[in-house]
Amino acid sequence: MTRDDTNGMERHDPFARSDVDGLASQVISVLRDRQGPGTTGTRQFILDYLVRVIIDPRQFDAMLVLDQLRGYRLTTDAIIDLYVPEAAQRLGEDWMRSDIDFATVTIGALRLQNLLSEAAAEIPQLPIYDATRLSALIIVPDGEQHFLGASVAGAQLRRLGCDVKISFCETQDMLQDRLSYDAPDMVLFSCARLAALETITKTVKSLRSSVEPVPVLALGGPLSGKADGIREKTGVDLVTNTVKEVVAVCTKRCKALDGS
Amino acid sequence: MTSGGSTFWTSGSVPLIEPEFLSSIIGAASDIALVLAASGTILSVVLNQSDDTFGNLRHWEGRPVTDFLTSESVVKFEEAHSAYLSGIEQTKPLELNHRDNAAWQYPVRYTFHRFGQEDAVLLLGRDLRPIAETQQQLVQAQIALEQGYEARREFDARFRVMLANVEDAVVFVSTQSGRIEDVNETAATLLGMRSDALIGATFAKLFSERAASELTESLLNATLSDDAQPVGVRVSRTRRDIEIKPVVFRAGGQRILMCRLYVDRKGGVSPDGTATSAASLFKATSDAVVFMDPKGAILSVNDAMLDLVGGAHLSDVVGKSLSDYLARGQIDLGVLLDNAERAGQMRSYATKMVNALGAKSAVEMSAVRLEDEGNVSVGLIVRDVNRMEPVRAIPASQGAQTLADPSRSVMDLVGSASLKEIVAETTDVVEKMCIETAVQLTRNNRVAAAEMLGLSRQSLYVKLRKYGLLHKGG
Repeated sequence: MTRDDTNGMERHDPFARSDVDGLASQVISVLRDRQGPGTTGTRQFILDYLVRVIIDPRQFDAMLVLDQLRGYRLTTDAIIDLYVPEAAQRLGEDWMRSDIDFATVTIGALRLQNLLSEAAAEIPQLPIYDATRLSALIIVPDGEQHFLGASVAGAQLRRLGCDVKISFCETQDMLQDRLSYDAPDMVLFSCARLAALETITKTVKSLRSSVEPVPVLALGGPLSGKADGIREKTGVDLVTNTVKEVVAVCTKRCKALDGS
Repeated sequence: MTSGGSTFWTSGSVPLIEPEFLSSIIGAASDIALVLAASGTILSVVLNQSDDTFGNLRHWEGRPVTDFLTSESVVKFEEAHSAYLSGIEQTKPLELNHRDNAAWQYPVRYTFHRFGQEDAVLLLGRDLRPIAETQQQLVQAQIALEQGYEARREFDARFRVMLANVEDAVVFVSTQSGRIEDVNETAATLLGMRSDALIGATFAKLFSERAASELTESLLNATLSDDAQPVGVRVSRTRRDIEIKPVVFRAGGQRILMCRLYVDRKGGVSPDGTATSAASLFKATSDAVVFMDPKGAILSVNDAMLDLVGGAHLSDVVGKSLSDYLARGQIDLGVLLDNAERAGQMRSYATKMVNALGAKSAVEMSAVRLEDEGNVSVGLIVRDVNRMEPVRAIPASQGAQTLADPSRSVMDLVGSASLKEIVAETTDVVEKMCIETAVQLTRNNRVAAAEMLGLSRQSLYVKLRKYGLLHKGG
């Protein structure tokens, strides 16, 4: 809107009504397009963006994507806990619908791994020589190809103040050495395939007979919610996809051991 | 589709293929072909005859195809097959993972084709094993990377523990940029800043009168010979003279200087040992001691001061203005600095200090101007009044011979006037004393005096007039 001044000259009003209305409409439109969080707590348009960039055949820059996600006011916690696992699940669903091929799924998962590493690098390190910290060993069983979940769990445990080590596809002997040397408070198995259950069962059996005190043994991963009787079959203490649950059990166990 | 763009072959152009040749043509056109009944049972398996890597799949025939699919592929196949049976055209190729007695798995990309028999389907498959092999290599490479990150994390933890626990003050400086790459807490304290604020800072800027290139050059020269002398510098913030003993090494393609910092003790030793005693007093006294620059920026404090302001480390406090910890901020600081500058010292000043949690404690402090080889600083001794009051209460009750007995003065007053008049008179005396002191402390700065007394400027003027102080200079 313009108006005449006393000298008869037209001048532009910086707060002209139509400009303000235009800006307000634009803002409302942007807000409307930014849908609210879904059932998992993620916002759909951000998740769509993330899936789009990880399967984009062109170059992928994890730091740029991370900056973009931060631009959507996402915290490191939200990226690690919500968006990376959700995007990985979307890759699986897209493959099931034949929308993408398995090579694209692999590339996408590796890019998510890259993004996760960059995001997790920003988690502040707690005093490393604190003896009261719980120590965790995450095992990706030999032959297992899916390790994004293990990395997510590792980042979540580190945020909870645990000292975390991840064993990637180590043989039974290497694992045995590691377990007797490191003596972790908890061992978390990451399991995506039924075939890995046999290896896990062997490791659990060997652990229970050779390590004292036996750490809390937990199993998580895509398989944990699907197959029945996994706990009994493998001999782990609990089957869960929530690391907080494992830490709670472990804290309780440590207190009981300290008291005895 | 034909080259003519039609989906139908025109009469005569259709090659009439004898049944005994058809299977080999289908096998060659695809890598694996399955003919399925509407029930999903495999009627026949056709393989490319020039490729025997699939082995013998004859035992698949007569059994449901789902027996030879991985669990996630069973769901995927069943959905696609149902859609096919209900007449929906399959436009997207279907990737399925085959398994055979759990001995091996391989991915095949299938397309669905009708061939005239009702509800039966011909699946033409492309062997995706070459892509799967590349995928495996990628995954293995990523696992190796992740293992590398794990090893690096462990190494990093060892390095951090060592850096945090060695007594030496250590700084890593890039020779190319002159910036600090890493620093331990001991060095941060010596440099008067927090370690996180130091990372990325230009090393030379922390010292008085040192240009970045010149300092780096001196440090590099000092690394060249075995008997090279350490490089002497003065820390800008703490005004301490320190020596730098550098070691140069290459890492990640760039030259890095590891600098160990030592306090230069040459000027700090006095023949009679006073300096040593003073240092011990500074460290052990229960009174807080502060050294600040002429603008009020804290140069150094002792542990008692850290306790008073709730600081965990020296670096939490050094570099900040003392006004941050004074209840009246800049006004209190102005009074202390002005008096120290004007008279060389200020014997006693009462105010309140604010700790990191916002709690206030009443303090008394004295200030003194210090000058050492042209470097001016101000020293403060701060005493927590709350801790002193119980101590002062003892002589007040016991030593009537040295102090005027307050109860005796009250006895003289009571009866001379009404209670109301005594209280009013007392209030006036106290008010006048406080106003006079505030005016004097602020060198007649009425705005600062009003702020110090918690009065508006107008109220201060009214009271100044009341007590005949309006035209008195500070």
